[in-house]
Amino acid sequence: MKKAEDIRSTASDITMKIVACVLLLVTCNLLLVTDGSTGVSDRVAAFVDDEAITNSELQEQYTETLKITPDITKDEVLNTMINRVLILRQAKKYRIEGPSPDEVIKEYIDLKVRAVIRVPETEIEKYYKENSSMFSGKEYDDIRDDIEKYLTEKELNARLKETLRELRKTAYIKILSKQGQ
Amino acid sequence: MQKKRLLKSRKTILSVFFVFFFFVLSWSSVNAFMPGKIVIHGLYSINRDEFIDLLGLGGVQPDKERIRKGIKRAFLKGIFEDISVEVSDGDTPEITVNVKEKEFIRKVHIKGNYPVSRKKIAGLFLLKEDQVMRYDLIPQAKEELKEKLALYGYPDARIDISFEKDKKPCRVNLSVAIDAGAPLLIKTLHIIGTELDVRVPLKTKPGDVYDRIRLNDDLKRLAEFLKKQGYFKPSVGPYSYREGELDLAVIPGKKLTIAVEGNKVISRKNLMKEAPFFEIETFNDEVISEAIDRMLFLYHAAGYASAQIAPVINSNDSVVNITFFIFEGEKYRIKNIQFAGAQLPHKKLEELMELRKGGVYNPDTLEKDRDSLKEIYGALGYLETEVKEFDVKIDEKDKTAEITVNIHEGERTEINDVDIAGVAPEMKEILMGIAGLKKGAPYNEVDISDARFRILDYYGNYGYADMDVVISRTIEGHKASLKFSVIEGLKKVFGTTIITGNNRTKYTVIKRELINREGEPYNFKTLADDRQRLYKLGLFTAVDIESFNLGDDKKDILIRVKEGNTGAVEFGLGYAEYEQYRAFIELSYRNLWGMNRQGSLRTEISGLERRVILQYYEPWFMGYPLPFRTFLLHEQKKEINIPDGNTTYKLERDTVSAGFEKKISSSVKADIYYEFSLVKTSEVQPDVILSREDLGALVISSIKPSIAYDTRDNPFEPSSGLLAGISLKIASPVLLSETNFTKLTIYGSAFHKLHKRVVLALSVRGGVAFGLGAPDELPIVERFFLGGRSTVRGYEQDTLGPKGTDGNPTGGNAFLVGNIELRTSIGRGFSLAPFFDMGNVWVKAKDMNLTDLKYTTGIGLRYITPVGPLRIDYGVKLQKDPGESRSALHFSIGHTF
Repeated sequence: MKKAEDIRSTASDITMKIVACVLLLVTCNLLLVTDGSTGVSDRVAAFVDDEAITNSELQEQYTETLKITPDITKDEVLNTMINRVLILRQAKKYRIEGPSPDEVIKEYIDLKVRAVIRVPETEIEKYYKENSSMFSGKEYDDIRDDIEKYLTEKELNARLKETLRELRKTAYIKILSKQGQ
Repeated sequence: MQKKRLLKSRKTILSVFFVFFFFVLSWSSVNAFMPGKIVIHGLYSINRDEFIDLLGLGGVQPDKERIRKGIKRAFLKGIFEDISVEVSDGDTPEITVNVKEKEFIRKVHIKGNYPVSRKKIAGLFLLKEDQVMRYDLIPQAKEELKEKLALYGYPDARIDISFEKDKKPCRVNLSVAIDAGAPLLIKTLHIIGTELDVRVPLKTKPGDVYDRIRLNDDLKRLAEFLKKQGYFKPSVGPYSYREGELDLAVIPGKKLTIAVEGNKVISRKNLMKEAPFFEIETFNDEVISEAIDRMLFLYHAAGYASAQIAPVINSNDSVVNITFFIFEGEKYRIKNIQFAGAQLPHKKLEELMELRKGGVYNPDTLEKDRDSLKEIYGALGYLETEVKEFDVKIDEKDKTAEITVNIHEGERTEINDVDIAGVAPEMKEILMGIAGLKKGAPYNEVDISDARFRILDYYGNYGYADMDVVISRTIEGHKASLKFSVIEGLKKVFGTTIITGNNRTKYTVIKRELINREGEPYNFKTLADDRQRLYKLGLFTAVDIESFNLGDDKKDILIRVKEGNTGAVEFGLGYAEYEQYRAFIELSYRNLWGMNRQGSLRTEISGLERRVILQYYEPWFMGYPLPFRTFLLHEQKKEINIPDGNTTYKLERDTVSAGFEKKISSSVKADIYYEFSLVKTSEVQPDVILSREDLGALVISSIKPSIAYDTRDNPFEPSSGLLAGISLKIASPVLLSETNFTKLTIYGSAFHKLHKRVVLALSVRGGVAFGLGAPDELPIVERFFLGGRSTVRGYEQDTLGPKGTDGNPTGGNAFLVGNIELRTSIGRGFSLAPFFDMGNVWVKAKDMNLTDLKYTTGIGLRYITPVGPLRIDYGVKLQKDPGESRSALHFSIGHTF
């Protein structure tokens, strides 16, 4: 009798386990099936000739950039993305390669912009004289390299802006929609 | 207990299977995505299938990443301005794609009055046909055109640009209305700065429009003019224009005269090429010294090793004179080259040098030869070899040089061990074979580098485009150990192919030619083959293939094509010895309906025949790579007996033919054609009638299979290879033919280069035919004839073989012809071809007899043209029969065989 009860109990236990398994599997299955069928959408946010920047890319980049620069706008991020496309395209023309797009852009700037910048000694001296109060009595020789570095970066920034302005002139750029709005 | 355990284990197995299948089904249901439907709005320029291919949404789960990549990929097509994709919720989601295509300029209409040609204006106008319509550029285009017209002398030009939508979607027509306005005129032209008469080269004259484009060309011409007068750096310009007064500043500068004295061996003209003062517009000590070095280089190359050049310069305010005084010295020849300390065969070493025993002594090549010797020692593993400076002893009496080369070879370094790391053992074995570096082989960097590239190539074929091989070397006691470390990187496969630039050509025409397949290992060779196959279509002037990653293991391929002009009109006029005049005109188009289908209409006319051929060619019949060709032919022809000029018979033929061609391999091609001809023969000379079918109308319906083997290096001008083939023609009442015969033709030609200027060309051709009715002779239009420019050249056209009672050639059912030519180039595109021909025709195949061949010999002159050589052959009979001419002269295009 006890044996029969044991068997019944075991059978009921197994049945429960099976039912639980089936429920679990059905849930998993539903999750798997519905995972891909949730509504998704994307569209072109802007293009540079034949290269598109999509809304989803813009949104991702915007979210990432906000972590570093909280007050940046989406338009500014989109413009930066357009600049990247322009520089990467130019780098490709010069067959500049790298492990990542960031590396390619850095390589392009170093080779094509920074390499041609020469800050004349007179400029460094002039800057030192004009801003001597900022250097709290430091000798020219002690601060010279820092000034040169600063002026180089300043010139680099100006030339890069000029390069981008030229590149934008020859490209067909269109911003289609202000996403998030 | 055991039963319970058994039951439990069965249940466990069942559960595992159940779970497994459940997950498999679930998983497969995820992957075998069944979209509800894909709705596309706004797509006009490409077909739906191509677009879905580009988006990558055919039958797969449309997740966020896939949609993004799809949009970016499709955009590369270059025709879209916006694409949006929306996927609805649910098990069978509906995909809605909204597309906005870019507008393209279809036509630019230029109207009004303008001073230059329409083509020029179209070139100057920023917005061009077939380009994207940039509405934002209209003001700039207008302003730029206005500025350019001002340069042409029309500063008040008025330009209006308007546009209207074309009937075709996404196409715009532009209208540019120009009113050039009044031009600026030149009333007077003043030359300032010189008293010289420099107006000669100027095209601009008083009374002309103030055209600055032309004026700038004038300035260039004037500068050249002054240089020719001896002014080495003239200053021409600037100019100014004010109220009709054009002032042009011209300062000729100093005159430069160059003299050469003492030169006998090398002409002044050749020496002056080395002193380009006028071209570079510079005259200083540096360029003079450079010019002297270059002149001496010429002397040294000619063996004048002790030549010297001294410049003497005289100068005043207006003239600079330079005289190069040359002492040429003596010409030296190399008496002997000796090697000291070299174990390698001296003869082999000498062969590597430019300096040669008996040749001229050129001191400028000493260093080059020294480097060559060092290089070969390096290649043989002698890493420490020292080749000392050559010891040169000049014998002034004999005018000879004796060269001694002192070499310290050192010990040879050998490969002791080669290892390949970073791969599985079985792959290592394969790569060892590919590297091909053996133990005991000389150590040299060239072989090692080659081995590395072979490994890279091998991997490249399997999709490892980013892999690298790093070599480490250890050399101890002249024994080298090499280790090739393989860094495989990620395997890449082909992704989607995007095709752009095919405005007229259909997507499928390009797609079907491509051998890259999505999912197969990515490799460069496949892409190179794709490019070659697309060029072979003859539709594109440029095919640019680029691969790019959209962030996964797939490399998408972007193919940019530039379509060429696929229509052609060709015509030609010529003269031939029998036909007298010959002419043809052909209209052809090779991209009908954008499907690479080809059509042509050709008319040929000559003193003896008129022919019209309408042809159609389908490269892919019913979607299979099986070329299909059909043509209609109408022909009227008069056959004459050349010696007496009498008409043998007249022929009118209408033919329709259709068939398939198949390239079985790179050298074997087969085809099969059906041909239906309605032939009418008239005015047939009684003595040539061998068959009742020789007269009147006759229907010949036949099939013609043939196969050809061709390994010639160049079909127009072969210098090596073979061409052989066999062709059968069967006409039968079964095919509704009124005549019944089988005709077999075989041919074989071989080409062999005996010398760089001499090609031996051999050919054998033969044919037999059997009439299957009564009589067994074939109708005259199907019989074989021999003699003439492409068979046996000692005979006039078709005059060799059996003749009728009146001496007219009757042709026959069998023939054999052989030719031998020695095609010898004599330079400047001309060649001579002595030849020996043999052959004969027999009325019946059973009459064929090799002892009955007729022999002729002769010589031909050829001039090479892009379509084959222009040819004149003069053949002489070696067995002249009574009444026959001794020889024959032939003109034609193309080789005999």
